[in-house]
Amino acid sequence: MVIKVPLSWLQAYCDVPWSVEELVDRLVLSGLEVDGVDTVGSDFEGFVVGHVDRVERHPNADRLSLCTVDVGGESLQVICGAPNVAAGQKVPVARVGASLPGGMEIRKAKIRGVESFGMICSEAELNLSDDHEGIMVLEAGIEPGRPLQDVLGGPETVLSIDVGTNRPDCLSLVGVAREITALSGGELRLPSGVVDETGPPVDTLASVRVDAPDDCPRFVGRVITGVRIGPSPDWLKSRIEAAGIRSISNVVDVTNYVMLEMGQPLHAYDLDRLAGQGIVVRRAREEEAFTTLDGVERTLDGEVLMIADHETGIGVGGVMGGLDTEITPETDRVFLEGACFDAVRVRRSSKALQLQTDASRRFERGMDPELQGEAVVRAAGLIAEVAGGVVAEGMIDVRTPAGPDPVIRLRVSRVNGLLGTGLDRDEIAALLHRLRFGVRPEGADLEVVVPSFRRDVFREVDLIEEVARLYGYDKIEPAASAPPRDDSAGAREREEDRRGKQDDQRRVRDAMAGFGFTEVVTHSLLHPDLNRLIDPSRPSVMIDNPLSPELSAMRTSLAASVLGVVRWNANRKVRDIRIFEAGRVFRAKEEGLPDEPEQLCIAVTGQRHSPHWDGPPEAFDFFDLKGLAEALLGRLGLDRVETVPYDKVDPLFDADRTGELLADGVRAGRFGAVSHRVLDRYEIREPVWMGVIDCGVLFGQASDRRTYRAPPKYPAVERDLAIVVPEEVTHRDILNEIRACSGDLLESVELFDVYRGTQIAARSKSMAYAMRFRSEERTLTDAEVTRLQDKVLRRLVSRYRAELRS
Amino acid sequence: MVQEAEAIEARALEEIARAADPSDLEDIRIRYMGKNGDLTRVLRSVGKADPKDRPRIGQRVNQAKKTIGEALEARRAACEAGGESAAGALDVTLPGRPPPLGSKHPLTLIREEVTEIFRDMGFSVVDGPEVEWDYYNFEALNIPRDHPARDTQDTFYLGSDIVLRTHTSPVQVRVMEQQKPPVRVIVPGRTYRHENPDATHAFTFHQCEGLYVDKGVTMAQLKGDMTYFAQRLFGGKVKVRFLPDFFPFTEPSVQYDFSCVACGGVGCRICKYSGWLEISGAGMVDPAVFGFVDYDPEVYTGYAFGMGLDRLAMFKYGIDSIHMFLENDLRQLEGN
Repeated sequence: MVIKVPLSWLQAYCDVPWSVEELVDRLVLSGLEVDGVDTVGSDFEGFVVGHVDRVERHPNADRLSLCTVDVGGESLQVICGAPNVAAGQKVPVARVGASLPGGMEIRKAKIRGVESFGMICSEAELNLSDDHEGIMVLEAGIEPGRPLQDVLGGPETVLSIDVGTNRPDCLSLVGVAREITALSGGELRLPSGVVDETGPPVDTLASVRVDAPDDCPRFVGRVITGVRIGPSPDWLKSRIEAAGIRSISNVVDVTNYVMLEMGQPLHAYDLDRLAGQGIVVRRAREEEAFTTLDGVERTLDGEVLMIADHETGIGVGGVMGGLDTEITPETDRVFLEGACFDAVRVRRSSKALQLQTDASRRFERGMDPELQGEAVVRAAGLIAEVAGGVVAEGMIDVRTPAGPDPVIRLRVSRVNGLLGTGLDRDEIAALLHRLRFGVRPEGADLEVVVPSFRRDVFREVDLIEEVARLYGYDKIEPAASAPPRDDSAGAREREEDRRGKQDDQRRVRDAMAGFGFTEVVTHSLLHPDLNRLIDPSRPSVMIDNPLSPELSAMRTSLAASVLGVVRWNANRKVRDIRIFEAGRVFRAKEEGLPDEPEQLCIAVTGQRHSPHWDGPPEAFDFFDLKGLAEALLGRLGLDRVETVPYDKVDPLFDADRTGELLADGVRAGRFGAVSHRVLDRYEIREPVWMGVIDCGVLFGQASDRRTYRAPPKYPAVERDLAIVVPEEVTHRDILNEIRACSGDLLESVELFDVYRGTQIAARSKSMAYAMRFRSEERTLTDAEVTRLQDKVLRRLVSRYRAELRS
Repeated sequence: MVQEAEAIEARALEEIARAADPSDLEDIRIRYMGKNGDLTRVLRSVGKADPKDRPRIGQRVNQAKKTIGEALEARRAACEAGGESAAGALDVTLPGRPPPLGSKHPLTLIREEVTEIFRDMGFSVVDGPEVEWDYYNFEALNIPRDHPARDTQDTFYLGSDIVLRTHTSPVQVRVMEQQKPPVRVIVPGRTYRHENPDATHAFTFHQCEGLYVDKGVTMAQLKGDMTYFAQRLFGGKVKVRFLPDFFPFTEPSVQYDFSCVACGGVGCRICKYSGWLEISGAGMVDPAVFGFVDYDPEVYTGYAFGMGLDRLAMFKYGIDSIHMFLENDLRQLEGN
């Protein structure tokens, strides 16, 4: 939560013995994150207070007013465009020659034919706030002609401090001042804790009953009677506005002022509008209706903590008050609430209403249970000061008794053991003392009493953090840790497993990059329709609260997003695309977390080679992809890699051009031409070749163990075999027969030609193989090889009606 | 006659090799294989040879004819292709035929680099699910359901108990559940935040978590180890700064910064003139987390850290937009 800290206001509570830059550095180093340093207002050179004597319509412009402004013994004619300007107002006037904080210089001007000698300014123009709705209206009693700086003060430096959820004590000026005094050793000046109580006893005016003590451990009330509601004095207004809160009226502004000052949210009710002149703190009833101050009617439930009078709800505890009991111009008697609400209850109320306020953010971080009394005294005194009225005697204080402040034992050895420092007991005690912890020695160690405003500290380790941050993290000397050694068999095995997977992931990417492919990385969320397009049978893992429907499902295949990359680049005239992605896909399960297998997706479109001056372009085709896929698996050390026709339907691929990869008989993935249906959906016009491979199979079997064999001792015999077979016989059929017949002596067999045409029968093809035979034990004879070759041929003839091609 | 054919073949091949352009080749063809060519003449005379020698001679002469024909064709193709001038000189300045240049994605490169450094430091690499139980992502990291810290990690939900992990920290808990100390692991992985993307935010990003638990692990070691890491990744001059911070699962917690790798710490656009680059959060493992995995915090201490791989890659490779990573503009990625 970011709070704004006007420096001049802060200095009311502590001295700041440093420049702004140094202050910021010191705060940051001790744990308060300063998000920004801004200047509000300016020195207002050439700005004065003016009294608007007369307002007339500009003769040539409906929306402009012609104002006569008294700037102290001198009358200026000023043209003003603001709708709220009116005779009798005191206003800030920039005279001719003055410069606005934004840099614009005010000159004598002629606007639609009428001369203007200055400018009446809005708060935005004065750099006081974002309010540019109308001109700023000053207090009525100020003398015209006074320099504006006398009224508004000089330029103000405002720090924006982002306070972490663990430090609710710093969500106030006093809290920040307390940190500064811990750093500087200076004095902390707390706001006044006394008030003149001249009214009747408070019990005779109002009552409080807490029916939900767990949700509201403390509720404090005070009454001020005879107030006059009106605008706040300029000092009050400018302070809260510099801190980012809009001025509403004197009483409401005081409640906000004290919240900013001390961190305690307060609420002011019109006592005369409280039925039964009393407050009841209770849970809301199911479906209880309530209109909050922002004018929104809400339906509550039993999770919400309600502040009620004796008839109906008047506020949501710790979140926001209600419209019906708010302070109005007619309010005479004010009931001031200062409560300590349970953090979890406020958070649930705030979540239930989907409403976060300055109050709810403070409560849900944890409230100091001792703060309410002081804060209400402070606010009552300020109300009496700025709105008149009489403070009733005493205060209503309904509370569950607070236990004693927690005491924590802090071991010096533990401090140094965790931090790696060499601090002694007294150094540690001094640091904690500056942070306003109670500290007493206890043998070699310390006993530390935690003040009520530091309830985030409740363990020894929390104190160690306090010691560390005030000592300074920059003073902790770096040391190197030695890797621990775990020689157990279990540890070794575990490490091998972990390394194995990492190495495999790396090998896949290295191999693909080595083959000339560019790795892409896409995100894992997409529209479920894309999952359905590519894998219709598989349910998507869905997000309950997606950013948009396009990002509402987890991908079931990488193909969808990789095709997205193809399209994106094709639209940018990248014609030859060779990409791959390796990443997780998500598979819903009946119960529990989805599976997250890893997939490799390869996509190619365009030419086989980059264009070259020497030679025509050649389109990438099925066999490029097949060669690539098989080479990849081979490179990764998989055995017996082959491609078989895919006999079922995969909507990603063109049915006639899909191959299934087998590695040692295990299905490893599919590849082929992306189907027109899918390409149309992506509006891709070029053919795309794609392979989708299950990394689980690769990782399970991949290995980079290499074994080198001795070179052959005996010569090989090479024979060619050209046969004509019917169309339906596949290369794989023939290969299987050749291998089956020739046994161990066959060293290799390569297909070197496929021919269809006039020289052979229709619906048949000629396939030519180069076979190489070799024995590891002897030189093969011609006759021996011829016998093998004949055997192969006989088998092919009988099995596949092959004919030897002459 | 066989010898004559062989001599003719040798002579023809030599002339073909010397031929400067296609017209020379045509002359050679006519001289040897034309109607009155040398080889044609020999072929005609085969009929006059001894009948038992005829097949052998015929075969050799035909072979010579074939060889010369092929040589002529090859030489013609070479002349026409344009790589060499008519005189056979090569223009070495013509563009070469490059093999396709593959590349790994910068996120992969940074992950591999980071992983390698930590492996050298004795960390092993583990991973965990991206779709994660609320328990591991929050509860067991000391972020109970009603804790305001949940607001700082806007979360995608998949049902009431399952989230897209908002950080890689849940893997800390998973590892400690499965393994007794010493634990020394890093967890590179993908994480998600329910944030509308803008100039500096993405809803998907990549982190690397680190965890070291043993007897006597100190914050000073965390600082020393992070300094070593920073200097391995960005060079020996990089400094590391710790600032107090808050995370429910570490205590004390720090934000750690590296001195700006672009300007060396004097201040520049990249470090927003501060001299420092905010890297991420770290700290000493909170005893409450040890409570969830049954480690005795009196016996063991540990440090944990996170880092944004996207950010590190930006600094390391001079990438200026976080959106570059998932945009996949091949004009940017290719060949890198």
